[in-house]
Amino acid sequence: MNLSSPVNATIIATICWILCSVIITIIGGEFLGSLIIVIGSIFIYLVLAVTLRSTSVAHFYVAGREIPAVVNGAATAADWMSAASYLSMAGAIALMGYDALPFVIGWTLGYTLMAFTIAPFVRKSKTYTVPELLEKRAGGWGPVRTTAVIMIFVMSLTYLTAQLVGVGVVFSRFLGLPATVAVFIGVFGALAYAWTSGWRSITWVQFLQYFVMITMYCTPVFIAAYFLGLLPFPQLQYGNLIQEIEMREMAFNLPLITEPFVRSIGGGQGPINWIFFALVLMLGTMGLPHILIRFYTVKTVHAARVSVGWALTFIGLLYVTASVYAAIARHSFSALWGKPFAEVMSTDWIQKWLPTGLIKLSDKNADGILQPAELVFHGDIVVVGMPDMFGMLWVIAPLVAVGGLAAALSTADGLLLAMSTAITRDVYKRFINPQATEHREILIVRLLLVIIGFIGAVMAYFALKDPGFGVYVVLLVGWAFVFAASTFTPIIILSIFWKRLNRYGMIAGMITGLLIALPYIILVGIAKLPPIELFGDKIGTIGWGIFGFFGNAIAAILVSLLTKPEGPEVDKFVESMRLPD
Amino acid sequence: MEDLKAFYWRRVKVLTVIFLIAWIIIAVILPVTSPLLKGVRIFGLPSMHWYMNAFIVIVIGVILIFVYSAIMNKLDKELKKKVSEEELL
Repeated sequence: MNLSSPVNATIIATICWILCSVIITIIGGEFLGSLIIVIGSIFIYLVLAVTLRSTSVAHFYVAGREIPAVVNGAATAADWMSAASYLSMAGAIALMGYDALPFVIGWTLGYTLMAFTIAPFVRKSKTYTVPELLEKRAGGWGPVRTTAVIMIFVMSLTYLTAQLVGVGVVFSRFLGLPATVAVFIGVFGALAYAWTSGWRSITWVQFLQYFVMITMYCTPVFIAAYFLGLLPFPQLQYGNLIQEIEMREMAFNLPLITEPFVRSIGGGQGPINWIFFALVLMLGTMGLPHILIRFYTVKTVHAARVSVGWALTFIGLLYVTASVYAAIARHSFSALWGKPFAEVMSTDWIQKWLPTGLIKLSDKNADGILQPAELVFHGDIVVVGMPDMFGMLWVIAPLVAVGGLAAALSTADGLLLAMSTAITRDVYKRFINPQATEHREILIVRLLLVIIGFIGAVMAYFALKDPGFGVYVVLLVGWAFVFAASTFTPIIILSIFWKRLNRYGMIAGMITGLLIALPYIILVGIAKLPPIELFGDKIGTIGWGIFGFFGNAIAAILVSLLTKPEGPEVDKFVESMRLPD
Repeated sequence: MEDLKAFYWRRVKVLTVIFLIAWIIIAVILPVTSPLLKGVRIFGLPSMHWYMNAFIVIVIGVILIFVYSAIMNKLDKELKKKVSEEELL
């Protein structure tokens, strides 16, 4: 048996992980067992990454362009679905009902648009990074590349911080360990997988992490669905569950969970804000650097197209399950309404989660009966608390934590590597040392992984220590979508479909987009000025991104038309992107 | 050869416009009009105005991508065949 084969090594590591977990549980009890289950999963990925080690730059930048479509799809899904998707989205739907659905459509349908406007063409460009593509499209004009690198950092650094915060949250929620320490364990994992061979190693690790994540996400839902009689396909059968929740809501005169536009989202409210919010998430998805890079790594153009389909299939599986999660949790909570306070307090899972502060109970009107307003829950309880709501075997909770860790680490990895390769290829190799050897380039990538990882970890540490700062990290992740939608997305689409776009148009577009998005974020999002109203609907900071997107496109077109065209060389490059291999 | 390239790109553009319209339908029109379906229930599914956003548009989104790749793959093969025929002449 060949021990260095990735498949064999991973299987052996998994067997060791299971054996260790069982032995430690028998000797040391449930807590130590849980700890080994969660931390052990980090080492399985590490074993896989080490077997894939390489020192070729093509492996580091684009995984040697040899990833099959299905694998790339699963890796894209893991790259994409973050700690927020895994831990918090179901909770947002449980709390905000219909008004949280823009998360579901917004974080999925961008892929459909991407499949026929960006993904295959990016693959055909034969470049290594997005800044490189944009520079080549601008006739080799350096400032475009530099601007693109800066934008990658604006979008990715806070996003990375949020993932590391997510790792901390997983550890503290499931194991009661200090989140601030866990951040450093998390960043070590993310670093190590990218260290061995860049996109090549993290692609396969992400592929594995996707299946870990989706299995662990669905397990509690299916067990709960068994208790509620919703098998075999809870996603197709939860209608009556929603109806029961609505009956309870009606009994207490509450707005129904499915009632449209009664709650605010992203600082705005109403149907216009609702759809703008969703659209900005979609358009932002298409411009996020760690997602764009994924389409460089496939074998052929056809594989690039198909892999987007697989990506959305895999992503969709989790997203359509999120609303079932939300319904089940809300069903469990609403079952407590109207019950005597003493009875509620003696419920096992309420007792377990009250000390964490994720659930708050107070008999405000002192009538001894629990009113809906007297039970406040944090969104995160939906996923982390579900095993307890149905009295599942203890081992389910650490397994859900393993999934959450996979979600956070896989996204952190993609972001970390997108930033490190951008600096190496687009700054160091392009401007500082164009004669750098492969060996040197890889050294720089690895060095940057450590530096950027450390910066991210320190920021995450402060975000966890100071909740005030932590709030901004969450907001900044949302705004990363606004920045992506107002800078990269329109420029990349125009680059492919409109030959006349020139270097000045590209810069003008990106700057205009940013100038439309940024002041609104600062004034409304941070300085808390009242948002602008459109036909009576308040437009939140994220929804506002739609104006950044169109402002960018209009400025890019106008400035391009007013300045001189790029000439035959760029035309040829555009044509090469449009034609098949 | 130039004719073939132009022909190919024209087909791609037409296809892109068609899919763009389809995308606008699933990503904008269906979600925005979904509240009109409030109270419409089929089998054990939740009310359609909810389910449209929580399930249906995502499934259509996936199908659209696979349909697009199948059509494009066929078109690519067609182009390759035509190019090799032209080279033979």
